[in-house]
Amino acid sequence: MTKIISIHSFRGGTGKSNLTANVAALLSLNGQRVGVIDTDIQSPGIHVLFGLEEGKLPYTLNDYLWGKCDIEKTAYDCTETLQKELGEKGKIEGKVYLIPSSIKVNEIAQILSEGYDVELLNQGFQQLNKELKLDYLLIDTHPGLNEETIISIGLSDVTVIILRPDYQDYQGTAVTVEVAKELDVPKLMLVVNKVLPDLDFDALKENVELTYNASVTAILPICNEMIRLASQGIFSLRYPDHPFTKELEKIALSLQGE
Amino acid sequence: MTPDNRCDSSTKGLSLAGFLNLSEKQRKLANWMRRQSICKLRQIKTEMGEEEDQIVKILEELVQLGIVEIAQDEDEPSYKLILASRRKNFQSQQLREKLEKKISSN
Ligand SMILES: Nc1ncnc2c1ncn2[C@@H]1O[C@H](COP(=O)(O)OP(=O)(O)O)[C@@H](O)[C@H]1O
Ligand SMILES: [Mg+2]
Repeated sequence: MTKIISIHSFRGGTGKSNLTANVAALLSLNGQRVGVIDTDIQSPGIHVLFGLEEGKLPYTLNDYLWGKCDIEKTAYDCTETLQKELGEKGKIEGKVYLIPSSIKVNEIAQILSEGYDVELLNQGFQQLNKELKLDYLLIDTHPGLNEETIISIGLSDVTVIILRPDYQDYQGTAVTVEVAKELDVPKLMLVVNKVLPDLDFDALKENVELTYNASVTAILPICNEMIRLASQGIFSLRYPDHPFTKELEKIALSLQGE
Repeated sequence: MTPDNRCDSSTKGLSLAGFLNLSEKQRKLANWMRRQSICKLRQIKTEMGEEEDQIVKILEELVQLGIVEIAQDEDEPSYKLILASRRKNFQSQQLREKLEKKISSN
């Protein structure tokens, strides 16, 4: 059985795409077969982290949702790129496939204006899991709540919600957590990202857990190398020994443990 | 809800807003059915642990709401939950028309 993991945040720029890409890379390093699907149709971006050039992609998720192709056609094997990024420091035994969304402005506008069949997206998930024999399907999402939420949270085995220590995030996260609970997601994990290193991490963890009545899997500091990397690669592969990578590994491990 | 999700009024299928408006019992059933394909009434009974007429009543409510359909061609009474399409959106339709004009004039 494929485990479906959806990654959410109420606001943008929280770190969803970077966390998703890193967790995918780390799971594949542990020998897992991983699919990553960009359901952020309005503002796609995770393909950048995987070094995929949108102009060179014959098919995207949009084409599938328009009935132009099978979902398998939209899955790109990124394992080799990731292996190059890691270099001699390790061997990726698993696989990572990315299903990107279109970055063409007219195609984004078309899907927003015409809508699409959410049920088809659901069927696409199942098809990918089966055809690519995935151990994990990670769903990168658009911030906030929208019509995809009902399937991204609603079909996932684990929902990860990322927030920053910011009061705008706090309020919105409460809404997202509530919806996840209503949708009866089997497992809910919170990750606090971009935390100033001099904050008291234990106190913050306790506070967030109390506020949302959900467990905090990790507290990630703001990280200079991450800012410098600027989404031009996958942090945990580029800096496998960095303390930040150790924290990301904990997240991957706890997802594997679920 | 972000503004681009303010949709027209065709409401067939389970939408997020529709889901949140369900009663507790309707929601419990919808949550379970969402993760199945076709659900036999017998299975639903086991899952919900309620009397058949109670369950049929909730199912009928969900059918009325356009969220559940009676599955055809099954050898016993069966139901299927349907998801709402992401509906057409007027604002982005206008945006798209503008964009296409711009692209074709280039
Ligand atoms: N812990 C962190 N420290 C510093 N920068 C981060 C951290 N996490 C994410 N970022 C940066 O924040 C920006 C937004 O991240 P991204 O993953 O695209 O967020 P989202 O997908 O939620 O919009 C990117 O420039 C990324 O490099
Ligand atoms: Mg993103």
